[in-house]
Amino acid sequence: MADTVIRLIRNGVAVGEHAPAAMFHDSIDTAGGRPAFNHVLSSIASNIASGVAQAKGLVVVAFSQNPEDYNFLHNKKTTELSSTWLQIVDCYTDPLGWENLLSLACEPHQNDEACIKSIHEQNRICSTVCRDPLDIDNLLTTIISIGKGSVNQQPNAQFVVAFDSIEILLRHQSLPLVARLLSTLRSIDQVSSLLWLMHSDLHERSIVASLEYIATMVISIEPVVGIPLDTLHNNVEIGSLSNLFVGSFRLRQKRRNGRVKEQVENFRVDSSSIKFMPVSQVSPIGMGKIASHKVPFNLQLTDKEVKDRAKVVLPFEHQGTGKEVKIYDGRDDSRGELMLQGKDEEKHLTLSAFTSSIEGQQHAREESKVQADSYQAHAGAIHYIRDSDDEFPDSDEDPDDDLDI
Amino acid sequence: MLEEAIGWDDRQAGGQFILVKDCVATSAGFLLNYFLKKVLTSAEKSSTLAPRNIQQGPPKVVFLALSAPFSHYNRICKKQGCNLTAFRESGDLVFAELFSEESTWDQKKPQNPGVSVSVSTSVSAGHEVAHTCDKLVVGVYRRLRDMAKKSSACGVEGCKGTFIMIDDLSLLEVAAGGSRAHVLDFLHYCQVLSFNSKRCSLISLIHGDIYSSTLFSSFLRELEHAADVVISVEPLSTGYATDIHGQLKVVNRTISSSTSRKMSEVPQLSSFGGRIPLNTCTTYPQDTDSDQLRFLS
Repeated sequence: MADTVIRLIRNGVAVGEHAPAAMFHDSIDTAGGRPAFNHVLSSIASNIASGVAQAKGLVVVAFSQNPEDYNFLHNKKTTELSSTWLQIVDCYTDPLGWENLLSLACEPHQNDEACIKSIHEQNRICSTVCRDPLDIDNLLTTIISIGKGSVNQQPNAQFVVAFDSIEILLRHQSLPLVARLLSTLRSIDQVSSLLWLMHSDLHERSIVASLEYIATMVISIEPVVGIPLDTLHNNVEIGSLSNLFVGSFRLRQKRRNGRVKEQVENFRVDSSSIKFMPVSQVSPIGMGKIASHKVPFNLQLTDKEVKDRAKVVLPFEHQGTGKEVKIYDGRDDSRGELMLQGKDEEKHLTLSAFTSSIEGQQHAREESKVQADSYQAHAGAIHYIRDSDDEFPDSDEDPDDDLDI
Repeated sequence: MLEEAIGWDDRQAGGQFILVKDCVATSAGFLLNYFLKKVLTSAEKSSTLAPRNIQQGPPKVVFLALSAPFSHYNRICKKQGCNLTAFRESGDLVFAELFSEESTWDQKKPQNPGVSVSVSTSVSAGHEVAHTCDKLVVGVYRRLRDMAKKSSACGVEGCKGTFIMIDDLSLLEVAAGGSRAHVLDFLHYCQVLSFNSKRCSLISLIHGDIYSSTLFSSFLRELEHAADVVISVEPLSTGYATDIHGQLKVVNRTISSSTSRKMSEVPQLSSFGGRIPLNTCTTYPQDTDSDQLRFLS
């Protein structure tokens, strides 16, 4: 599913649409959010560098990581693009302007530029310190101007904007302002696509939902419960904490026609990379051989055991030999025989009544009457004669009064 | 081997944030003493070969004390064989009592913690930093920053970088006028700060049960998100015992390339039983069958 995200961001903005936006969100139970985000980011960076992407530049707005930590975005492929295709907007070193404030307090005649550019030559990272990034308008203009710089001011070239965290923006600014920033970036022609990372468990559901509306792709990084122990390390105990580096990558993608598609994939974070694997490879807990690790006895059946078990006939099971089943009901066998005989006669009676309808109704009726009488003599019947007709039960009286229960 | 769970056995890159979370039933103050001693003495060992210039070297530990005075920590560390006064005089330890009037951590600075920051008019109005409630926080940061600027490059080999230790984040929140955002900002700036081109590491204690209600839990969770290692100190899950005082849970959320080698051996969740005798602490694994870590100090 990560490939889908990368492909959609690589393809960029469609004609007559806003730029695609990918929102990555994770929670405290997993540590896979940032590796997954970085994986997507580095794939996009290599796509841009090799020229297969729609975008020609990449602007990373660094809120939670040092700009130098984005050195991994430079890969070894030779770039035909200018050296400035990767730009970092450094909101990490001075997000609140304290540094600026304190240096102004010390040296009041410092330059008051909105941003200071610094290029780490040895790392080939071109980072720009954004002064006062919490001022949304300032941040927006900074991003756009740096983005234009990343594509060498070409009017038609586009760039990707990536926020590595929007927590500090949400902490200090209201949701409408943050939403305006993201929506504005999406609607600008030069922005090819937009992606951001956030911790969804720090905010109310409504805030997360309103940001999800802006995004065309929502990627939830969730912990997976019940990863088999084989795929984990042997000494990690089962529990939510143990699955910090293993989880599921859930992509919910909104199509242009309104269809919503959801895909899930599992991932595992290793030392240097993040590995994706289909969900089917990881069966849920309680199935298959997972539990057998923990129990000292065998819970599984072999094929032979399954066959043998199928052969066993339980005592009260219907045998199905073709004979009529006689279940002893506590009565004598002779009386039972009598009952069956009576039933046979009844069958005969109905059959004969049917055939006699051709010969003559009257004759048949007489015969059936005789037969019925003889049947009644054999079969038992309840005869009830009420004592008197004028004895109605008293309405006041409880009819069950004499019952002694 | 608590260090192994934390990731200290490898090359220390700096910029690590260790959050120690405790509760009323089990105080985690002993861990602060433990870390204080560990950092100070390890730095001492590595620097014994080269005589250090006291004036130029960056401090090993900057201790921001809010809940207990210097004498308290000095007394406990003395029992553990670590003389804090000597470290303080040598400049390895900078001890700041934020609530006391006589801040002793930087002798060359005026001694009022609520330092007034002159606000320049060029600072945008919507971003008023020098608000009364965060004067203290910005003031403290200013002192740390000045200290970092003064410590010129006199690289001590094997030095782990400067540790900023805060003995109670909950009280720092009080000091910042109840503003949690300012505490988080302050911690962010502490992590950005670099002494001698090495980024600061951060060890701070927080009382987890204060933030247990859902209304305040996002502050604690945000700290946990920011932290690389979260150490939870809890009462023993199996109940009260006379000789074991609690358990530690270490959640290491980072995978660095240096620790990857040990990923198959070191789980990211380790739990220890802990014993706190009079003058030291002893931790050992709870489960002898598993490969969980065994630690004795």
